[in-house]
Amino acid sequence: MALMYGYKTLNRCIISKSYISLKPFPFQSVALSIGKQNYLKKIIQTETENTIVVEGIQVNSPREGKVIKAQNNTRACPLCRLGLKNIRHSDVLILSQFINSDGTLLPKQITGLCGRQYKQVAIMVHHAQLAGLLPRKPHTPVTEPWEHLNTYTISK
Amino acid sequence: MNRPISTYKRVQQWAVFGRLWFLFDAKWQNPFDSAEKIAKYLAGKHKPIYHPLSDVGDHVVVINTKDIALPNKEWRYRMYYHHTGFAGGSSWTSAWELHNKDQTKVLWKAVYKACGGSLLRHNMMERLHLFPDDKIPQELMENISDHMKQLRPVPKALHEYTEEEIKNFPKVFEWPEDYVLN
Repeated sequence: MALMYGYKTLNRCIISKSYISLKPFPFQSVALSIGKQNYLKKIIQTETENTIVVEGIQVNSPREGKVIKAQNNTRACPLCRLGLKNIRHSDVLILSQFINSDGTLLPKQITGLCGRQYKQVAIMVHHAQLAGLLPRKPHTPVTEPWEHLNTYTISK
Repeated sequence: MNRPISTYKRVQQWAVFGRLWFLFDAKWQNPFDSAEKIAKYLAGKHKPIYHPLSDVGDHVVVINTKDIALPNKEWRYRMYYHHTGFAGGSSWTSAWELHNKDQTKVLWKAVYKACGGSLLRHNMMERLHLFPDDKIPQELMENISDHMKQLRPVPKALHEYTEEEIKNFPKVFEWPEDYVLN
């Protein structure tokens, strides 16, 4: 019964439990944005006796006020404009911003990383996952006996 | 007539020639790099009065040997060779197998090699005390006077940070407009 859709499409949809039918709710007209308020969407699913209501509500960004601004107005990627070119695999708080909860990398279109930094982040995330510092996809039931021991990767 | 040693001179003698007990935390350390440092302290090479025949080596107590870290794939591919002396008695054991059997052996063998090939090696190894966790007998705990600095920084995993710390950490980029948060 889960509904998968990208952003910028339906805002609300009502599904009756007897048969799956999409009933698109009338769109909200896009208002002219004056302030710099960044609205994100959150999908909420509520169940009653006969219906499931899947709603996309507008939410304030959880990282409001925490984003570091670059000193100049450059078009560089988030890491290049802040000068973070030599990240180590142990810089877990920075690397975790570019991954999902299961350890897969977020796409470049969302994070805004350039190709070079994206590759570097991918390598560092992999090193951190080998060392057990970042979460990774759960293994198949048979795990290797040497994987629970501490490892580190030598990087230049 | 023999003059007794003055108090100042006696304190100086103890400070120079007294055998010290050092503590080393092997958590997340490379055993081979830390073995070189430990062997240096066991020999007494950290003292200006060092001489190989003077027996000026110190004791080293190593804790958390179960948490040592090997680079890349060494846990799997580093092999330890042993021969019993009898026919067909050669065996190759990988580092993780040896670690599972005895969690102090990897570091013990590393220090044994770092001590060199002299006859003083066994005396040095007698002064090395290895413990897999941080439980030390009280007699040894009373002797420890100083600690050795770790070589590698201990990394902190993401799940060890509190949610507040992760939330308050400055973010590098802002989510794009209309991004779906789930």
